[in-house]
Amino acid sequence: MAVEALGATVVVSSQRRRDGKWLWVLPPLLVIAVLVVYPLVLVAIESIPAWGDVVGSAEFRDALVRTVQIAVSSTVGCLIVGTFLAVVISFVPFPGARVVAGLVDTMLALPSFLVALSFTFIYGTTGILRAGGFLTSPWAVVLAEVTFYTPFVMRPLLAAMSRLPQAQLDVAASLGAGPWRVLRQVVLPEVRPALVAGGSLTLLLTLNEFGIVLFLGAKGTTTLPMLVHTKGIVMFDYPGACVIAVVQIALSLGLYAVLRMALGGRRARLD
Amino acid sequence: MTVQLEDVTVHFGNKHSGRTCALEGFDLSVAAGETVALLGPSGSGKSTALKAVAGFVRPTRGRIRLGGNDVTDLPPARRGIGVVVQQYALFPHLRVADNVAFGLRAARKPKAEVSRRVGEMLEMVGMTAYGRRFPRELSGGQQQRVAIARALAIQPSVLLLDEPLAALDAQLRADMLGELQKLRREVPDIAIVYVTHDQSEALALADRIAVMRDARLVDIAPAAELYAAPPSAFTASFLGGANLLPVSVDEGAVKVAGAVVPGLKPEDGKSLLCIRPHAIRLEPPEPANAVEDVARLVGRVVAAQWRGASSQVTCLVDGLADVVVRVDVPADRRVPELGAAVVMVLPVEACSLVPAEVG
Repeated sequence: MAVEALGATVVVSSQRRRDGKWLWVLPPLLVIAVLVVYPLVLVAIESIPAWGDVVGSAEFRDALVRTVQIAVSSTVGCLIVGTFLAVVISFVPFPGARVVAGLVDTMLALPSFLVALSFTFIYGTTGILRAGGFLTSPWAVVLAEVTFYTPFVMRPLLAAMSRLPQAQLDVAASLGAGPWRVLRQVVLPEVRPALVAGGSLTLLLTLNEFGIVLFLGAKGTTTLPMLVHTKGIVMFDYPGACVIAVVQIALSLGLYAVLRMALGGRRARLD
Repeated sequence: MTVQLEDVTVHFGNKHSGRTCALEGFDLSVAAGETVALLGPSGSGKSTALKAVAGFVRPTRGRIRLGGNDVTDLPPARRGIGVVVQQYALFPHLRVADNVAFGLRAARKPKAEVSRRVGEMLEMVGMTAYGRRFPRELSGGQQQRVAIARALAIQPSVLLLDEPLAALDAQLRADMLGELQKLRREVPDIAIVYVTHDQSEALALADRIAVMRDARLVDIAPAAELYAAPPSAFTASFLGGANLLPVSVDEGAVKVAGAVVPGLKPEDGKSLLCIRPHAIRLEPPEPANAVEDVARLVGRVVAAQWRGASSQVTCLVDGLADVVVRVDVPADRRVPELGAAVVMVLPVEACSLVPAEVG
């Protein structure tokens, strides 16, 4: 018995010495637990008594639907505009293509509410276009989000398109395919992973967008993040805000998991 | 003539970044059923010439005709040429059958015809069982076959092959060379332009070889002719690695390092003697009976490489500084030791004279 126990101990200790590196996982885990997980758990606990009231309310359901509507419309818009611009920049030789690509990168550095702010000068009731009413509609939010998030679609697309072998486009052309067919049947299918990546990132970010919605201040456009803000900061309904926050987190994490699965599966198949 | 290039010149770059000349005044014509190899080292313009025929690059000058029609200004899609490139460029998201069908669908052929033609093509290249696979599931040689099937599916009158075997390993390359020869017999009426830097591929496949260098055509002639009597020093050494020895003319006789080459007539402007490594015989330095029509050069061995079926022995010739002579010694012959004095025996019927390089 004693010998066996001794033997077992020896094995464990030698293994621990060999695998000692796993200890390095602890400090980052601790930081994440204290800074991220603990507050989230507090939010979840705080939310418990209010679930019934909030989930049943029309206010919550409207906000949820609105949030998804705006996020999906914005993402679709970003994909269309982003693909168009990326194709033009990548394949239509024009002077200044690099400058335009650089501008796209600069857009990524700007804060989102800036777009909303600048919109008031163009579309506001006293703005250049005098398009009264447009700013208070959800379409203003969608337009602002498309403006701001299109570069998030373009960046991975431009990278993927620059990696497309020229020989493949040449061969496709020699087989009798015109530019439109080459785009549809060769370029777009081959950059689909980049489209999926850019699109899902945009969907994730637009679901959580707060700055643009707040700055446009449209009454009819209450999204989940707005509702959290209103309930928590303005109305002091802290448990209610927590419920919505939890829903928001679940939505984001769920989407993120789907995204990882889609991209991960694709990557595995490519190898 | 199915393919005709007249004075085709291709410049890359612009005024600001400086212009590079990739092809200069290139003339070529290829008849239906003929295989012409464009042979040259990298940067010699051979791929550029092929891209100009395919329409992937636009010539700065010159005309390109296909079957008599000027296609210089036509986009690749309207030339109807089959192209196979070095890395095959199969469409990774399409199955093998859909890759082969790509050109037929682009031409909006009826469904029945597409599937019939795809079947024929896959059968021709022996890939019938792989129609449902994706390109990444195929080996290099299989991808190569699919690329050829895809190019031939549109029934082109011209097939362009750009270094089609360069990405394969040696054994597979030899096999594919045999398959390309077989394929040639399957499509007897197509004009083939084959770009390669490998002389053995050119010799095995081509009816005529166009040797290229520095964006220009050096020589073009039937393969056997080019090998037997190379018109230029560059062709002599690039095609078959010939030895080039400077000659002097003395009283109407051609001499190499003081030794007379009996029976070889001097020609104006030709100051190099060209002889293939396998034509030279090595003998021990003993007095010989001078009955044969041979030139005898005295020298010594400086290197020897065993190559299985033969050895390549490098020799220096006494009295010729900076000139090495490579000799292929068959496996059944004894290879002289390093540093040994030898006599290189040059049979006159294997010798020819070529002009020295200009510049």
